[in-house]
This record gives sequence, C-alpha cells and structure tokens, in this order.
Amino acid sequence: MGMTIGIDIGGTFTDVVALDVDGNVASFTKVPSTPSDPGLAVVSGVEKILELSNARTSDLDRVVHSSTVSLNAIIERKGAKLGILCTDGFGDILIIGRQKRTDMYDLFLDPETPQFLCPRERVMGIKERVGSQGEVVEPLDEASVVEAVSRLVNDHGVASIAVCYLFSYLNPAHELATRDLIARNFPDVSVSISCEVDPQMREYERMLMTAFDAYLKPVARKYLTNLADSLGRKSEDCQLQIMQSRGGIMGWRQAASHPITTALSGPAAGVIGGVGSGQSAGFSNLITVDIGGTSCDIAIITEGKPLIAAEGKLDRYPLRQQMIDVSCIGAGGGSIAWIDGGGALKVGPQSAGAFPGPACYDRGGSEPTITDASVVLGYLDPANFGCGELTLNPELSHAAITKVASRLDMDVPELALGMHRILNAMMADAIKLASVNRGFDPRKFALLGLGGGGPVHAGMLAKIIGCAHALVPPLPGVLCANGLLAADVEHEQSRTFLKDANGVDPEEMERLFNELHVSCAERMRLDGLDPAKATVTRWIEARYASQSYDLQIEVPSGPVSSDTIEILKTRFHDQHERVYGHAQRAQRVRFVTTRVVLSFSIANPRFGSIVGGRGKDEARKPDRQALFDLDRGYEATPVYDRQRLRAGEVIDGPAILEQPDTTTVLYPGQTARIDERGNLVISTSTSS
Amino acid sequence: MLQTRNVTSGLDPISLEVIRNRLTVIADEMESTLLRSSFSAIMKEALDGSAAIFDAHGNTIAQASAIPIHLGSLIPAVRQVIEVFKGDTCDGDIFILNDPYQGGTHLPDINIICPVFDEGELIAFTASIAHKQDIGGKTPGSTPPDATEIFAEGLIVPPLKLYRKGQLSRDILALIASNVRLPDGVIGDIEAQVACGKIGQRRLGELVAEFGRDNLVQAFAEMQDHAERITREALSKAPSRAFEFVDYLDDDGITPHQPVKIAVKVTFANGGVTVDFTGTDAQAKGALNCVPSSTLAAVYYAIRAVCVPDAPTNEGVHRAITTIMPEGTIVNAVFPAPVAARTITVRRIVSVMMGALAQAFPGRVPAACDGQSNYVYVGGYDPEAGRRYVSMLGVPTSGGMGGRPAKDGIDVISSDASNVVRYPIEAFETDTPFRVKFLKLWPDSGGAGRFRGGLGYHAEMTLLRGDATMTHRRDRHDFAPWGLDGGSASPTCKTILHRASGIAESLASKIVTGIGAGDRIEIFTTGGGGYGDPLARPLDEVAADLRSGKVSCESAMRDYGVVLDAKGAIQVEETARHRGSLAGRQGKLYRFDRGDDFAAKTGEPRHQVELGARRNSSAAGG
Repeated sequence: MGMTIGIDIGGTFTDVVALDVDGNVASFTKVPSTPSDPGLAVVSGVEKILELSNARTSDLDRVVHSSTVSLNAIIERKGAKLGILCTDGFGDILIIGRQKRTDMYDLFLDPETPQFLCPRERVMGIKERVGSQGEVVEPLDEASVVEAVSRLVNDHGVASIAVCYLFSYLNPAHELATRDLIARNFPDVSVSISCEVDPQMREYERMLMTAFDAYLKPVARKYLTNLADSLGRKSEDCQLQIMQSRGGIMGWRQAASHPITTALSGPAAGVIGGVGSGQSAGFSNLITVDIGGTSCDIAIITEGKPLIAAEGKLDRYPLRQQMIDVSCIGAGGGSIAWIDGGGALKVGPQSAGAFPGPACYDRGGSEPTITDASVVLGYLDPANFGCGELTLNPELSHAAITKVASRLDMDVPELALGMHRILNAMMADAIKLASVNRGFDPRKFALLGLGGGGPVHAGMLAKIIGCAHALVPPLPGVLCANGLLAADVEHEQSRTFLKDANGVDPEEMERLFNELHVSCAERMRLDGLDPAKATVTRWIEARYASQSYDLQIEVPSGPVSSDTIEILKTRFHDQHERVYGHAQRAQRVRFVTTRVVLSFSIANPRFGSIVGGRGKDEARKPDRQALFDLDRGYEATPVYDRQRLRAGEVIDGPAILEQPDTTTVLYPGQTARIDERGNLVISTSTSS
Repeated sequence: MLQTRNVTSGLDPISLEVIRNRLTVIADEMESTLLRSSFSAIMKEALDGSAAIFDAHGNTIAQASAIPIHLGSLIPAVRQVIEVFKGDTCDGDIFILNDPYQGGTHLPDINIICPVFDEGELIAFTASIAHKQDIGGKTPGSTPPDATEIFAEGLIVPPLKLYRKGQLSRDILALIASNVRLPDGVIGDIEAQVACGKIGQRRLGELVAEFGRDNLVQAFAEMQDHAERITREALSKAPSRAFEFVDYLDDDGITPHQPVKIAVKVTFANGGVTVDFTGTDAQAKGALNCVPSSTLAAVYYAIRAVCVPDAPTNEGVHRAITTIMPEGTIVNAVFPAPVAARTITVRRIVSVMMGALAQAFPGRVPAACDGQSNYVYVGGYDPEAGRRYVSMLGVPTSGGMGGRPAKDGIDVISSDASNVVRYPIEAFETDTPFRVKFLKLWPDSGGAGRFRGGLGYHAEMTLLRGDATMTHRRDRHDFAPWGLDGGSASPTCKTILHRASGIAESLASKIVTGIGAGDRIEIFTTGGGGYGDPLARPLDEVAADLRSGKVSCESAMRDYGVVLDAKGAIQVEETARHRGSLAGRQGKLYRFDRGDDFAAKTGEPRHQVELGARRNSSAAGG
C-alpha cells in the first residue's frame, strides 16, 4: 500500500501533508502559493513531500486536494465566456435577481446580481414553456436552440452555455433535449443544465447556480486535467480527489463536470480537519475558530459532524448549495484600532491584511493592529514568527499604538490590552450568536483554535464564553491539508418535493428517494467505488406551511411508510423547538426538498502526532515579560517550545507555548495538558 | 513598573466600546429571533420586522438594521407605553399596541415592548415591531384601498399589558385571534415578538451583571452623545441655509388623478437640521396618510443615507434633527384618518427629502428612484385546484434606482425606504391560476444622463381560469421620477388591462377591479431618473447600452445626441459635432428635470434650479 497526500492551497502557502500506511502524519511541508497558476505550487509541493518521504510518484495511492480555482475564477472574473439559454420572455432574470439589497444605507452600492457572468446580449430566449404542474405548455422549438447556440458560438465566441428553463425541476425534458442538441451540433461547447445542477424551485437561484457552474466548467476542467496529468494520474492506480463545499470529496473527473460543488472547498477542509483533531483529543462537540489576518471563521461541530447549511454566499452572491455552515466576522490579527468621528475607540473591521500588514512587519503599515498589541503585550516573540519567515519590529508596534493611545489619554500597554479585550469580546459575541442562532449552547462545546491567530485567542475566548476547554492541535497550520485526508467520498442529490406532510404518498416519496439514490450511486461508481458499501442518509427540508425558512431533517432508515411521515413531523417540530425556541405542533408541516447523501469512508487518518518531546525542563525557554492584567502588571512569564513537551505534562498559566506556525497563549488561572496525540487541551478553570 | 489606573469603577473607552458592540449584537440577536421564528411570509421575505433597545426614558440605544421604514418608528410606541403606564410598570409586564394614534404606524404593525428591571429599578426597554399578514378589517391583508376611516382597516389595539408580572393575558390573544383572518400566523408572530423581547431582556441582564447598572446607564448616555457628535459634525458640512423641494402622489387613494403635494423645507444651522413640512396638502381621504412615526422614518432614513451612513442607530442621531409636521396634513394625519397604505407616502417623503438634500450636498445624492411599491394583490377561486387564493402578483415590487454621481442606477432593485424580496415566478404560478408571459427589463425606462437611471421592467400575465379581484395599488403613474444635475426624468409607470374581449384599459395607479379568465395584465414599472448631462455620457457606454438593448437607437439619438449609421454604429465625429450643436441650442443645465407634463399638471416649471450653461467641452464625451 502506498502513500496518501493532502494538498490545500492557501492565500500565502500551499500546505502538503503525507500519511504513512498507518494513517499517521509522516511528513508535512509548505511551499509558497502561486496564485497566477495554482497548480505549480501543488506540483512543487508534491515533489517536495516525495523527496522528504524518499518516495516516488508511483508510490502515491491517493491525492486529495481542495482547489481554490473555482472561487478565484469568480473573484477575479476569469471564468469562461458564457452564454445563457432560457425560456423566451425571461432573459433578464439573472439581472433582476430577487430585487433586494444588502446594505440599505449605501446609496452607491453595486448591483446585487453577478452581471459579469453574462451580458444581456448573450442571453437567448428559447421558444418552450413548461407550466406549474410540469405540463408542456409550448413544445421545445429545436430549431431555435440550434440557431441561438450558433449565434452564441459564432458571433460571440462563447465557450460554455447555461440552460435554465422555467419549471425544469418538474419536467426536465426540454433541458435534456437542449443539452443533447448542443452536444450533437457543438461538441466542443461546455453545457450546464439547471435540472442537473440545482433541480429546485425559484428561477433566479437555479439560474444563478447553473450560470456559475457553466462559467467555471472549462476553467475547472483545464486545471484538473493538467493537474492529473502532471501528477501522472493518467493511470488509474492513484486517485485524485477534490473537496466539495459540503465537506465530502469526489473524483477529479466529476469535480470537473460539476465545478460549482467545489466552490467553497477551502473553509470546508479546515472544519473537517477540526472534526479529526477533536476526535483524537476525545471531543465530539467543538466550535472551530479560525483566526487569520482579516477574518475569523466560526463553524460548529456536533457529535462529530459539522453543521451543513443549505445555502450561503459565493463572493457576494447567493449560492443555493449544501455547504459547511461557516460564519465569518471581520476580526483578525490585522484588525486596526482607530478613533471614529465621534471620538470612540474602535477595533476593525478594517484590516492591514498581509500587506502592508501590522506595523511591526515593517512593510510600511503604520496603523496599530491586534498583532502589534500582541507584540507589546509580550505574547509573540518578534524573533520567532510565521515559521521564521518574518522578523517583527516591536518599536514600530509601540509607535503605532502610541498614536491612538495618546489621543485617548491612555498608555501603550493599557491600550494594547484594551484592543485585545475589544476584539475578544467581538469574537466571543459572534461565536455565541452563531451557536444560539442554530439552537446550541456554546458553553457545552470545546473551542478549537485554528489559523495563525486562533491559538493566541482561544483560551481567552473559552473563558469569556464559559467553555470548559479550548483545544490547540499539534499542527494547526496544516489542519486543512489534514482534513482533506479524513474526508469521506460523498455524492448528494436533491429535488424539490413541495407537499403538505399530511398529503404525502409514502410510495411516491420512496420512489423519489430511490431515484436520487440511483443517481448518487452512479456517481459513486464513476469514482471507482462500490455504492453498496456506502452509507446512505436521506433528508427532507421542511417548514411550517406559512413559513419560508426550512429545517433539514434526517429521514429514518428503511422504506418510507406512513409511520415515517409521522416521525418526520415530530422530528421537525422538535428541531423547530430546539432552533427557534418554540414549536407549533398544530400547524401544518410542509415538505420542500428531498435529498440523498451517499458517503463512502475510505480513510481514517490519525490526527495529531506521536509525541516525542523530552519534557518541560528541556522545552523551557527564557522567560518573557508579558501583560495579562493591568493590576498584575508585566510579569515574567514562562515560555516553552511546544514541540519539546511530553505527553501527559501539565503547564500552568500564565505561559506562552511557541511553535513555528503559531503561538499559544495560556492565560492566568488556566492549565494546559499535552495529550497522547500532541493536542494542547486548555482548561479554563483550575478545578476542571 | 507599569502605571495602572483603576478601570473598573469608571467607564473607560475600552469598556464603552465593548458595551457598544454588545448592544448591537443584542439587537441583532433579537432581530434574528424575531425573523427566524415568526410565521408570516411577509416577515421573512420582506424582513418586515425590527428590534430595538431603549433606555428607561424611551430613547433608542440600538436598533437592528431591518428595513428603513422602521427607523425610529418604535420611538412613539415606547414613549406611549411610558406615558400610559407611568407608575404601573412592573417586572414581567409586556406591552402590546398597534394603534397608529397611540404610538403605532399602521394596524398590521404590532409593537411588543418589554421593560427591563434590575433590582426593582427600570433601566431599559426592549421592543419590536412586526408586520402581520392580516389584522382584520374589510379586506384580506388589512390594507383596504377604499377605506376612509381607520376602523375599516382592522383591529385597533391600544397600549395594553399582554403580560402582567409574567402572566399572559390570554383574553387579549383570544380577542385578537377572533378578529383576524389568519389567527395562527398572527398569534405565532406575536409569540416570536415576545421571544425576541425576552432574549433582549436576558442579554441586558447579563450586561448589567458584567458591568454594573450605573456603568450601563452611563454608557447609554455616552453612546447617544457620541452619535450626536458624529451627526452634527456631518450636518455642519452643509451650507447654513434652507433648501426646498416638492413632489406629488398621483392621488389621495380615492379619486384618481387628484394629486397630493408633499412640500419640505430643510434648513441647516449650527450642526443641526430642521425639516419643515409646512405647505404639504391636507390629509388624504384614502389610506395614504402617515402618522408622525412613519414620516420620521422617512426623514431619518434620508438624512442617514446621505449624511451619516455609518452613524450608530440611536437617539443621538435624532437629537440633531427637528421635524415640523403640521397637524391634519398627509404627513401627520389626525384620528380617524385611514393609514394602511402609508408605504407609498413614506417613499414620496423620502423623495422630497432627497430633492432637498441633493441641493445641500451636491454630488452625494442619486436621482429619484422609481419611487413606488407595486402592491398588486389578486384574490379569487381557482376552479381547477378547488381552492381560494390571495396573492401578490408575481412581479417585482420595485423598478429602477436613479443614476448616481459616478455610477449608473441599478436595474430593478428595492430602493429608499423599502427592501422587499421579489416573489419568484415559479412560486406565483404554483400558488395561483396565473401564467406569466414575460418579465423583462423595460428599455429606455432609465432616465438619460451621464449616469443613466437603472431600468424598470415590463411584464405580462394572464389569468388562466376563474374570476379574481385585483387590488391595484401603485404610484408614479402621473408624476415621473426626477432627473438630477442635468439628467432626465424617467417615464411614468403604466398598467394596461387587456380584457379577454379585446378591450384594453389603462388603469389609474390605485384601483380595485374584477378580472376574468383570459384577461391579461400588462405592467410597466419605471426606472430611476438620470444623473448628469446625457450629452457627456461616453460613447462606449452608450454603445454598450445599445448592444445590450437597454437603450434604443431612437433614445440614443434623441437623448444622448448620438449619430448612428444605418447599421446602428456610432459615428464618432458626427456625434461630437451634433452634441456640440445640441449643447449650444439647449443652453442651460438644471438641477431637476420633472418630466414631460409636470408643468401642465402642477403649474410649476419642468426644469428647476439652474446650474449654469451646458459646458461645450462635455459635448465630446469621454
């Protein structure tokens, strides 16, 4: 048996992790990302890890990748030249959208719909119409399809076509016929049809998904094909697999055919990594807090499973797709402290980002950031930051903070501590709100600190929120790459099923589930896996008849019967009560969407690492003056090299634990234990 | 050693900022509790509900940013409760009201107000306002277009205690349930509002425990002072003088084509502003009337959007604003005037505010948006499905946004005080026996300008079977959205009813009519006015509009002074010459263009506020 590697492309670095046959991390490395051609960094990362592992390409068994190509193509507007076919009379749906605006007080806002995808002149109306019962009102005029496509291709040079007809989720015949016509007459043109991409009611959301998919398809196909070639993946011995937005993975050929499903794979990988880390430390209820330079991403894991949302945003546009439910606020290491027009102290949401970065980076930034405050407070070692890539200049931090402090009649350490307090309070509020809005009490979760900033703040956030534990995995910097290796192969299919629960025919529902199952199984087979060995879960999305928000309810296993419907109704009421605090058990329940998910578990990597340190005494570095509390003042604080600590050892706070990719701050009154897998388990009160 | 200061006893800038952020989060949590757990589609699709925190004196401390039409609209409700229940407000009480003449806005908006106590002392209120699908009265939806008294509009709830010391008064809920058409939804939504108020109470309790009551009360005061400083600073940038503007509603809701004037004089002085509606027409016979809370929402929205978009939402902003609303006018109607359809009036008040502010802050205000909310309801019996239905028409409620300094207006988007989600065509056809024939942008419906107005739309739908009643309530059928700073007005809206018999009727903006199977409703909803001289619009932008079909060849030639060849390609040199001669001929630019027949309808000039001669240099375009 060969090697498995995970590759995650980040903004600055591309991380590569290799597992040995036992599923332990054998080696990991970082190479600089190459945004103009992300595949270059992937290939050089693979070469580097093979070299580190004394292995060859032919030793590779499986390569798992979270690709940022789809997301970048949208953010940079570099997708394919797109044309759209729609029901005649409805060509402006993509421009009109849902007419709502996100910021009500901004008179200068940009359009809420992605008009860059396809200008009006490349939208063609096709003579066809399906009615609201799925009946054909006007047959498809095939000649008009061929004529429209030939104009798109010959006059406009279109490379990809999105097809979205009204009510195609009820009757896909016209879209399927259109796809076949295009394939026959224009075999080089890529096609996405809405009944395949997103067979659900609401014409704008479905068209948007289809247009995004078509916009990405040629780009994704080229990238993945090149990548597979350069990895020598033409042979079928090794699989190249791609992370999806909902946290599962799939074979690269299918990812190339359904590129929209991978659009948000980056954040998903980190959360799946969090699941694995939590398991290795014995926690199945976790909140991951990934703090980078400009933002803080929050995700909730319950009973070892991340929460999945049925819709979210891609860039600034609505995306109706299953995705790991991540909340984001503009708070991070680069968040700037400033004084507003009314004289009030603010922290963020403006950020110095990676460039110019915090003042201490000495790249021209002069605004005081949270990272500058961390330097002033003694939490960070200026000589040992960011894998040794950067040397920080503490004097610049002081100077920057002084500018704001003097206007408030405060001294520098007081403001630095205050900046941390404001930011921590904001992040804690966001974590609480994210949990409460989803019906969870955050105090019953452990906080998992990720990203460069997560381990600095996790202990304090846990204390503010009232969590008993915070967790810092041994390699938070490569957790995303690790998460890729823990993911299941997943295929998901859904369809609108708008019915009052009381009027549902169990056989009809069963038939629909079976159809969706068959379609998932086909895709599983295309990935070279036996669908019979996969786990099937069935879901419905439901709401009260008068509502317009849906809840996802898992369907009990076994064929759908009238009992199943009753159980679903009860589960719906219960979940409504949990999430919203009340249930209306006399109200009619309406089913909206049916969904089948097929998961195939192929790997079980062991998170963390075998701890080989030699103990506290050897790990101890010279003390540093650090400030945690104004009353205590600066105090000599023990500093440890985390990699030298031994499993089972306990450190009392205050203390600072350093490692190349991050620094963990242990606050006064907290203790940290190194567990068997090298996780740092912080207890926020000494009694626990 | 570090010099330390005791920061726990006073209110340092750090604690203040933590409290300020927390209060915003509490308002957001209240809001999300309200919207997510409510039952009415209108609440979730239109987000027609808001939550706010008040101090013990009824001053807003924080409000979640729901729709602008609710800005400040909870203030009269909370103050009414303070007044009515002085000396009789206890821990565990929760108040309810919807009476527009006792703190409400219009009857479907129910206010729920919870006092917050700490050790027996009243320290704050949490409050919410939420639109109910129906509150009784003569028509479903409780917005009868022909009401002439508020009594026809639904159940009037004066300030009452829904809870007394924690005990629910089931009598009140039973009374409400018996008076509304969708009792489950209304009661469910009221429960969501109670949950919203209670979550606010609980979070404020936690804040008191963390910071102490005195510090919190002190923070409330400082937050208002801070917002006032920001607002006055922004307002002081306007010239110290008065700016006037008028605009019109098509009619009073009862008599078609009987315009109602709204006039405003906005005077800046000493970092404050006085908004005076003297000169506004008397209150309308129909339901277009505003009580002060509705008018203030429009005033606050306009000033916030133009002058202080980033200011915190609290009473401090309002302190800098004095509003004079003469009693008995449409902006301050007296009991028992009907008020149900006040949204249209709120939007027109925003329009007059924007007209005045455009003169005070040139270059910061867009031209007028479509300025109407297309609330067309159809109700009837579907013989095939065997059920009754009441539904909005499946078209956007909004047209286009006005052209803006440096940007074209956005096509078909909710502007100014409203922010509503479009009803999907697939949902509309699933719910009703209608079929939509087309929904597309209406070419040339954006006013011409250096920055073109966003387009409105053109749609048509057919009633397939059965009879139905259509309640058609729109505006801007008679008065066009104005163009700004040299830009042109956009066209007026129109609705044509094509009877199955072949007769076509052009409908007035507010009318109730019966329709039958085979009748087609054709709707034109206008775009926004243009901004800046259309002759200065760069040729590549005109060319792009021609390519996309947003602007017709005729309009390009007539409005943008462009010369086209037989194939429709722009002739650059001829265009420069033609634009030059047009600029010379048309002479002056004006701040406002009020549209074709404005002068005939009002006796006021079409072009208002001279800006000086058209610059010849602009004629060549970019």
